[in-house]
Amino acid sequence: MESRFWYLWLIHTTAQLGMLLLLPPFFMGLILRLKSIAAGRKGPPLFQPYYDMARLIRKGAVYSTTTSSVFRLGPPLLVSSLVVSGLMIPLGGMPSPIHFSGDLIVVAYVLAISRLAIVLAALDTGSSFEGMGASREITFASLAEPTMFLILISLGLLGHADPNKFGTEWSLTGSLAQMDLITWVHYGPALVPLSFALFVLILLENARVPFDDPTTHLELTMIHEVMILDHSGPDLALMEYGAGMKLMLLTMLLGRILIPHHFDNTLLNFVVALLKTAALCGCVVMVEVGMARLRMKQIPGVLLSALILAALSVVVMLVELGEFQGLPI
Amino acid sequence: MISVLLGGWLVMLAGAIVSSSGGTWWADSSRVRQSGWVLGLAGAVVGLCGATGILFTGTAQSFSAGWRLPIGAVELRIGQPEALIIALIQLVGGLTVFSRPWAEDDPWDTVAYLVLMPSLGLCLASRDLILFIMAWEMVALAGLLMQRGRGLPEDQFEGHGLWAYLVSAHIGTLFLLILLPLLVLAGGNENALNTGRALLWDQPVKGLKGSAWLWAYVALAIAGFGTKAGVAPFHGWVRTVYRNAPAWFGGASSGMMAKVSLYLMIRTLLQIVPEMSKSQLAWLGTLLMLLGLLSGLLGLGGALTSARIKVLLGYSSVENVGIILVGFGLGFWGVARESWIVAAFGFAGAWFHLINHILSKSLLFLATASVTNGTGTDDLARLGGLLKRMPMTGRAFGVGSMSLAGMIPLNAFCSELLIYNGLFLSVLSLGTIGRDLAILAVVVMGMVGGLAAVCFTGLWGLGFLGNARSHQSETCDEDALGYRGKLVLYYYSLAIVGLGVLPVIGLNISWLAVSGIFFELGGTVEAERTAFEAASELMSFMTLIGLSLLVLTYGLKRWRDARLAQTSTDAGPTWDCGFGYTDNFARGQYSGISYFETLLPFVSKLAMVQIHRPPITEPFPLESRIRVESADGMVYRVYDPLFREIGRRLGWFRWIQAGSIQLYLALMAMTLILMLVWLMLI
Repeated sequence: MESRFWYLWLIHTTAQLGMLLLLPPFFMGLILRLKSIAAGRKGPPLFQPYYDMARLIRKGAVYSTTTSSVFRLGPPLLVSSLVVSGLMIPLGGMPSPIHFSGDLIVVAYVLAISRLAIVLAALDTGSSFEGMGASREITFASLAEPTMFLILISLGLLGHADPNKFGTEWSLTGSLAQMDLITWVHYGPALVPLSFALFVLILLENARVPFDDPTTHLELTMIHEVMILDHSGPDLALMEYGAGMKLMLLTMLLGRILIPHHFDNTLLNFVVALLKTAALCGCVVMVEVGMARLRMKQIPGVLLSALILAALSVVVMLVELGEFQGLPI
Repeated sequence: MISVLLGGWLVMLAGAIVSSSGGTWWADSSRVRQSGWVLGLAGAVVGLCGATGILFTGTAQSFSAGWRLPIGAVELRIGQPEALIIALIQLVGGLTVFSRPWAEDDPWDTVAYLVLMPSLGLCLASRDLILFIMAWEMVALAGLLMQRGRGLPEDQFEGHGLWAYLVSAHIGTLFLLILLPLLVLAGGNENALNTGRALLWDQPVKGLKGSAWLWAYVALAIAGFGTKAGVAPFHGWVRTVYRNAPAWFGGASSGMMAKVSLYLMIRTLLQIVPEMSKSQLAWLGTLLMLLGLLSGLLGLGGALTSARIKVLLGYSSVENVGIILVGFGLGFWGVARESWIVAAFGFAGAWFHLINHILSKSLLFLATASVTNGTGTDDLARLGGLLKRMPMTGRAFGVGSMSLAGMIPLNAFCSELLIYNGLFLSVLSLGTIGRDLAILAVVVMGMVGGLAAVCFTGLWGLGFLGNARSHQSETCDEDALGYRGKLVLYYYSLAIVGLGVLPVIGLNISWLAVSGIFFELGGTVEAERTAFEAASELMSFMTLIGLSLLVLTYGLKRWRDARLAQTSTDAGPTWDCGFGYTDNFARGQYSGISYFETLLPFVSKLAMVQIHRPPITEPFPLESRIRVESADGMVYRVYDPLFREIGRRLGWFRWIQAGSIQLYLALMAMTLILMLVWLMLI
């Protein structure tokens, strides 16, 4: 039994790591392609981001004379923090390789490292534009922080919906392993606002419309893109790769919440997870096609709406836990 | 062991006397000052050994001198929690004295530190009222000696800081002068004040059960000790004092004085706790948690309206004291609901964060001293690019500030995680009010964490990265820091990373203090073991995650460097749309207030901020500067109007101060007569 457990753990970890490391550029390509189709163009090939990265890795780099070691440390730190958080988020239908009671908070803080890395690298260039981007990025992220924590509480509470099933640990795996389609019947009213709030956070964290426009060419309107203006060659490849990985991680998490699935077949689990992620990428594209970027002053208002949704989710979750589990309301 | 510690303190005081005599009697005798310094350091080491010994022997040690003070006795007792804080004070204070961030020919800062450390230790050790008050005043005076109106040359409000410090310190003392005698009397010995054994903190208070006066004691303890600790809303002094005091005072105040005050507050509350019912204890937990959350928000609200390193660090202390209070409040909640694992996580997180914050803040203020010594300013609008010119200072500042920004694998996150985990566990175990409070606390702490990230990326990013914004920061160096200073910064950085990667060490050290409180409040051995194992497991996972991050980052960096070694690496200017302004226009970088500006509409409710923009009246305006003024919201909106009103009311009694000696004599005579009548009546 013990050896079988390790064998399974090894398979899942390898599969999860493989997916985490190999697929991020694919979803970036998918979004680009879908956006092009929506705009009536043919668009780049699906695997274009892979070609771009291979090209960037083969190129040399130009470093600004203003920058220091902090700038050079930024891209590796960005990618490593995302890989580590990827190991704590259950990506397919399986438990994540690293999970423990309290990992909800650790995931949020490890994801925040990727932000700190990119912000500090931007400030290291001494550019007005990049300072502006850094200021915007870190400010909006700090305003989104309470929403993130409410979402985590709500998810954590869900982990206690059925204590017989996965113990009582406060972890993402514990919560998501509980979920199946029947969970939506019981906890749907809490999961709907949660999913909306998480979707808003995904758009913000990944610098998508309506918070930021990844295709804009005017520095003054940028947030994320303006911070990586000075990266080139392998560093830029790592930055792009990291951006793709963050998008994939968070959309997979949302996909797992929206349509929970557990199959005995590992391969099937991953295929379904990929299909859901692709569908969510489609949703991101629909938002991008359907609306323009918001004015900077309006962003806190949208984040406040997400906060209210997340708070609503926690309240409803508590009420429903009281109803189904007899917990005090 | 306690005699070793006392010996260390005496040697330090002797060092202070020798050091000061070098500055007064023989003006040029640097050798005398040097001997005083060496003596002080030796005392610090001996004291550290004594305190560590008490910490690890595990039993409280007492000392009683035959010498009777007029209405007190020299009674000392040091348990494990006190020994832990004393050991930390001896360590960081000793390291500061060793690195000597002040001018070498100025003995008074050495003297102030050598007096401050034993005084703080005495505050913790003394169990009798008079000795405590004396030690408490010595702490205030040592702080005064360090400041003595020495702001940076550009500061226009030199001296305001001294006033703010004196007033706040003595308002705090005023509350204590009411509280402590009451506690002595409530300790069961009503003749204590007359018989010379006015002992405190050794026995639980009696006679408060069911009485509403209990909350008056709690309020006095929080106001009295909270003022020096910087607990909101008693933190009004922070901006003015930190702005005007030298950076090493900040290290002493934030790293040492605040922690001692905070612990004394908790110890006083622990003395009252046995008189509380379970529900009252839960309300005490609620009060502490709410004050902690308020401190977190107001601290960062204040920080984000200033662009001065010292002020930012001062406000960040308010925030971190808030986090520690949330931990203690959670602990009390856990005890009230007999959810021992929650209590243990709360207390362990609070104690671990206390240790972490002492280390990080001592490092940050020492690095700030290096910056102010090198550049003459701590204004972010004038700094920039210091990492290149002050490599050791810059790296150490980066480690300290990223630690407080909650970066993994650095120490402060691990202690916050313990508190977070306690909060999560309490959602389902503390009943409805506790649950709601825990959810509120998680959300506010998340927000505080986000704002701290803004604050500290701004501090390090604007001050140390990018281009120099002024001639001062372009031509500075860290020579003033010296070899010793660099060594100390290196050790601090090592400790911060070490505790981040192996937080189980910090947990074990904190647990020495936690277990005492835990058992005192009624926890069982079994509950303590279970809680410790759960906390250790969590910390072990942090080691795994921290190491994974370090190894992966290092591996990726090696891979990238190897790739670049095969291709080419060029150097050029920062991207500037082809205008070539970045290198010649360093002032165009974001700085201070502009970096925080997006948040200003939110935090300006907590502070008064005025931005004076010169009007642009012509197509090609000449050079002009934006001036930003900010004041603490509590001072501006509450204390200032309140004190003015009190001043106005007290003005009614000015007629007494008419300058007439006859009137004064008549008043004195009247007072004496009234007292005689009172004596006759009772």
